[in-house]
Amino acid sequence: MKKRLIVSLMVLAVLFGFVFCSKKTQTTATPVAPQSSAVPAQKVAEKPVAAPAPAPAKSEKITLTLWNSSQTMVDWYNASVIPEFLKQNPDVGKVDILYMPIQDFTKKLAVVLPAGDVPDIMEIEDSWATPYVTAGYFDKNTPELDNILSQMLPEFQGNLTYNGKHYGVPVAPFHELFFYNLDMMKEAGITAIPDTMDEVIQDAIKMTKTDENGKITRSGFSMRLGGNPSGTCQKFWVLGLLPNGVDIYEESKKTPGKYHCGFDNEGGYAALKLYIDMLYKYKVDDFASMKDTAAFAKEKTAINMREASSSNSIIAQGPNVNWISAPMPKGAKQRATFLISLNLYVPKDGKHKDLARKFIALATSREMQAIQVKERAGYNPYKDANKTEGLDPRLVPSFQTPSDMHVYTVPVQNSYDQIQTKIGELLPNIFAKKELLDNPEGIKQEIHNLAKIVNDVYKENDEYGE
Amino acid sequence: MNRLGSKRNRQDTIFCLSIVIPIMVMFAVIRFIPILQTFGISFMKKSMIKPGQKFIWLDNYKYVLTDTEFYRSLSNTFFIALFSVTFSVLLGLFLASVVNNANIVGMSFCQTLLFLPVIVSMVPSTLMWKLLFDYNYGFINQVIELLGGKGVDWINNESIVRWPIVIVGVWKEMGYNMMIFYVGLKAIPRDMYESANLDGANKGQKMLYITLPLLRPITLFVCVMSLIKFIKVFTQAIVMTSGSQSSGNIFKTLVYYIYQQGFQLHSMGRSSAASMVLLIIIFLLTWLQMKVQKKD
Repeated sequence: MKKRLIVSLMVLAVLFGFVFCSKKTQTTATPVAPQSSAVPAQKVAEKPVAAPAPAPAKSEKITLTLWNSSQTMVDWYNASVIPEFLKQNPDVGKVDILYMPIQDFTKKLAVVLPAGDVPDIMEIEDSWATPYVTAGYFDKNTPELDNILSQMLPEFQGNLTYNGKHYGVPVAPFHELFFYNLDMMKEAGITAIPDTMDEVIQDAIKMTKTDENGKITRSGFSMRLGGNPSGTCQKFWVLGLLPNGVDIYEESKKTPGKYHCGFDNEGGYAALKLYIDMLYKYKVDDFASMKDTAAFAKEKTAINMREASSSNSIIAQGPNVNWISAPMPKGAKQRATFLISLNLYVPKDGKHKDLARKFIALATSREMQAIQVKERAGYNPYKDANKTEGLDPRLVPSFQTPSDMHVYTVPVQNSYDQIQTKIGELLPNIFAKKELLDNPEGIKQEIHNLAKIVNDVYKENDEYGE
Repeated sequence: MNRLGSKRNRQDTIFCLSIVIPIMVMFAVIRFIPILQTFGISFMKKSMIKPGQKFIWLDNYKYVLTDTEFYRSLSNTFFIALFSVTFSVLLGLFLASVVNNANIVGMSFCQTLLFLPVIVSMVPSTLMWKLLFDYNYGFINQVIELLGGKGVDWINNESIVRWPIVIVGVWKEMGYNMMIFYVGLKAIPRDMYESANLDGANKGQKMLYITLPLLRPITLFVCVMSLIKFIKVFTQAIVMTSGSQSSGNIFKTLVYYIYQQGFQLHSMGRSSAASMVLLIIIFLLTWLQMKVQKKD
């Protein structure tokens, strides 16, 4: 009987422990208001917010938390930003950075922001952050942060603005550029960096190598043909659509503020035709060859399209590769690149908001951004900054923006990230269709199908306009 | 004596209930309530990140059941489940028989080696297999080419990448199945085999008429558990086919479809509807499997 009593007490103790833990969780969770889905973002701000953390005892130092999904940023924070921040804020004991790969990070965002169980600072790329900004999960910038933002390029102010207010500050902007292997160019008798996409293709053909079975052993141009859908779509956007003068979306003329697909036209056709021709007519790459920065660093491709910070991987993995960078070449209609940024946001339910803002102000300051450019090969967001200062000399050409360059940013639309995911998921199957070679009707049909998906997403999010 | 006995029985019952009820309550909170909530959400238009929800009857189910991507995921999942369960169960049984019958030094070490993949995390082990299957530098293609064959693009073609995913799953699962079968084999009385020996039964007959029938409950357990695991295949498919180094599509499975609807496209309603479809599929397959094996 005594034994039974002890066992029963143990079970009860476990049960109490469970109940206690679950209660604790409930207090931090944010109840979902039973409203229609079209509730304006401001409404969310009225929801009950977790009580502010009690002031720490004098001996107890604060720990600030930051979540991100870029490993090179973690190194920069740890080496440059955090030591200076701790010096300036003696009441902060440490800044914890939680790095997560992109897949985990997007999942975490979707779970923790609605639940209110958030870190003090979040580092998120423009397009992923938009649905959360419009849903009211981040604080708008304070005048101090807005003052910093106002000194940066107008593109950043545009893509961080919602309902006339700014959310977040760019901490690591990046643009798209081309990397060329100089030894391979020399070997192929190419003497100048190509300036147009047609020249790029001609040079890529010369630099592509195959074995006796026709298998590509060295691609002339490394094409993004799959993997993470939003990345696949982003590359199609900057290599295919923008140089052909079209974008993923177009603002409705009838109803401003609403959108529809922008590439169900000649530009979209030319973009997909470019991919199909590169794969099956010019054969500068295929699905099986090694891809991206790893291929460039191992000299398995002659030309790669990426952001400047990938030069760090090239240097680390292929220190003997003789390379140079250049701005995006001119396409059939225009020369274009994108300017995207990782931004720092203060979550609405954050515990140490003032300190978080101080951290953001420091990380995005001119001094820290200069270090960021130097250490990460990043893009300096300040209007008056010398964009090439501190850069590896091989990167300098790609930061000297030609006067005819059109710079595109990610729009503030709830649909945009979903569109990227859906399009990026379908593109690899389309690229794999060899039968699209010299098949204008087939290409037009594929573009039309993609356009329908884009418009459906806009309709679902109530952002569609004819 | 009877009164004493019934008092004792009552005490036992109360004791058992006091142990079981709290556990059942916890189980209900952790398992059943979320399933019921998912069922409820599957009839709602509900965003993952925006407040508010709207009752939309069966629209989410209609969307899911008419979505070509859902059927692509379903077909991929069935393929993986079918071959992974078959191979992992057969190999598990084979290895368990070998381990059970072999009387050689170092067998327990071999057992440990065979069980090792079970405790290794799925992400690093899939990455290791991804390297082995690499088209240009992978060990497997190098062996194929050494034998005079042509290297295969294992990863970037959806109809081919299924096999590496099956192999990773079988490699990870067979050690666990082997252990379960091994325990089952140990429980079979030795005198049954001795009697069979006296009757002149050969190895095959002993396997067919003694081992397999007596292992039936274990086999049912292993099949059901493996099936449930493989129907939920996710990590190995994602790790094997995502990333900028990959070409072609991410190998979409049902769980990936659910994840994508909920966390990437933010539609909790559709994600919940797909989850309920998955639940029904698992339930039906398990029921069918139990029915067939009981009938046998």
